Amino acid sequence: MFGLLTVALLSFTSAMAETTAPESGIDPISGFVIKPGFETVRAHCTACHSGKLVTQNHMSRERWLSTIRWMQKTQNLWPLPQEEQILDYLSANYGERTIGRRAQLPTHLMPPRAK
Amino acid sequence: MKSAKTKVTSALSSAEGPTARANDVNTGNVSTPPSSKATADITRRRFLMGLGTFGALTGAQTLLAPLLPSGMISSAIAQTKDSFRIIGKSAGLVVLNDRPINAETPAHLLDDKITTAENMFVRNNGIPPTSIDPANWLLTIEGESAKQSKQYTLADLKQKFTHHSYQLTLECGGNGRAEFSPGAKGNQWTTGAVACPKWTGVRLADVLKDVGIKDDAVYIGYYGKDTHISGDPSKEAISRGVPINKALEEENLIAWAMNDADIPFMNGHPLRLVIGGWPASTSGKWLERIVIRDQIHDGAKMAAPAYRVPCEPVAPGSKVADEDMCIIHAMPIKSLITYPKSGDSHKKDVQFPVRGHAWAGDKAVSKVELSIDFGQTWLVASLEKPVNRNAWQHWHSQIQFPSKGYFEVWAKATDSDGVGQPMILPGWNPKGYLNNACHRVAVQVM
Repeated sequence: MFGLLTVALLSFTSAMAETTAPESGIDPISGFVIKPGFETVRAHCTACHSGKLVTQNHMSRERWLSTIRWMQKTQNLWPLPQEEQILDYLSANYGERTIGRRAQLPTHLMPPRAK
Repeated sequence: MKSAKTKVTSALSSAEGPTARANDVNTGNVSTPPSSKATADITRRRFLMGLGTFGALTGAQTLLAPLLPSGMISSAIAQTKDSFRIIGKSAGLVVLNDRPINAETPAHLLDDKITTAENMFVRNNGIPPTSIDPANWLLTIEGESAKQSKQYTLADLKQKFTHHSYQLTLECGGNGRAEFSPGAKGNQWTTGAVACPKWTGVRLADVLKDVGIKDDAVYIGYYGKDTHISGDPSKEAISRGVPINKALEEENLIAWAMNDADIPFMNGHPLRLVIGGWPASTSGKWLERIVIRDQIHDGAKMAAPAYRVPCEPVAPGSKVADEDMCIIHAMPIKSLITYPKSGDSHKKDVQFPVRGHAWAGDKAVSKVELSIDFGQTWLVASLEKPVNRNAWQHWHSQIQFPSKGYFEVWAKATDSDGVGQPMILPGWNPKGYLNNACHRVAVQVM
């Protein structure tokens, strides 16, 4: 049984890895951008919820920090010993974007560009 | 390791057939339910094919159970290119989050007048229950403003009360969040956290009155069988409610069926609340308890900032104190273009049909207009009446383009109080709720 478990886990993980090329700079396990600090973020930030809850968002350092405090206060998040490093990573790679009162339609909903 | 039988139920069952939620939890039984549709068959076959590669069926199901979020198939097993597919849901749904599972429906897949089960969005604050037992399901009604505490089985509800069916629009309060700038925290829904299927059940009002409502009743609250994502059993994933007057409206249901079949597991099977016109977080899933309160309900996700907006409008990016946030009640006027699909091409000299739906929480839609010049001129569309209060309304029109080129078709609905949709984003709020700005689709006219 243990042997079968090992095989199944490896097959599952390698199949998952194949769905996103490491060359694209995205960690296939969590979806995080592969930049300094991402392993720390992955370790603390995907224990309860998927990495997608992080990577969907773009916020200032202050708002990432207040999100962490909210999770610690109400959602059972533990103290983060590497909090500064985590905030560095999040504000660098998932930082605030300002696009005004209406952005353009996203690319996938636009007609193909003429050649 | 969790008992294999519970994972079998959630992983292999489908939303498609009326008997899909059968209580058969035999580990080894993977037979197809009698009335599955094609989609469910393909899903199940792919799942079985994947498992066959790994060896003994029963052993592999047990092994995979801890690795897969409840209710999902990994592409490794499903042999598709999608990262994740949700059991019983169209492969066209866009998965925003896999834990907890949240997925929205592209606008062109909401073209049906009555949303199909496979096309209804999936929204979770927490983790869906891992085992359900409809035969022994109990709904408890109690609370400080209930005259008694009473319990009903599903059979009790079905036998004791008149059945009612209503088409009711459920829209997530955060639908449209993705457009706010600066970005609002949470799942970045675009336009797809909305659906209007036909629900069947009993009137919430009838059940509450059967229990008896004290004169000091102010609010109701619900509790469901979903669990908190931290795994802490003392924490509720979500427990919201509505004021008692809203609760007693006749269209609100304690429902067991969607489109005459069991509600999909991911949308709350075997029993849920359906409260039309208000944020869908008031429509509790996997419903097991309703409390009648003598105060505003204070369950999980009732307190600020959840499902609240600033009581007084604020500039984008502002910090707002919890005490300055007010609970969202009825959802604002909104519309969707479901045909054509954005990005399609169209021949200039052929008539161009456009259609979709419009809705307004607790109000009717009185007008839908279309513009192909960014709001400079508007054309009034044909608009149908709703089949019942809080169902969405269908509209359609034909457009003549003045030339070839890139156009956008914008739709703007107006409600029965004369309140219309904004073309740009409405007031910013910290959690990104209530974006009801006009929907638009791009068309290349050739």
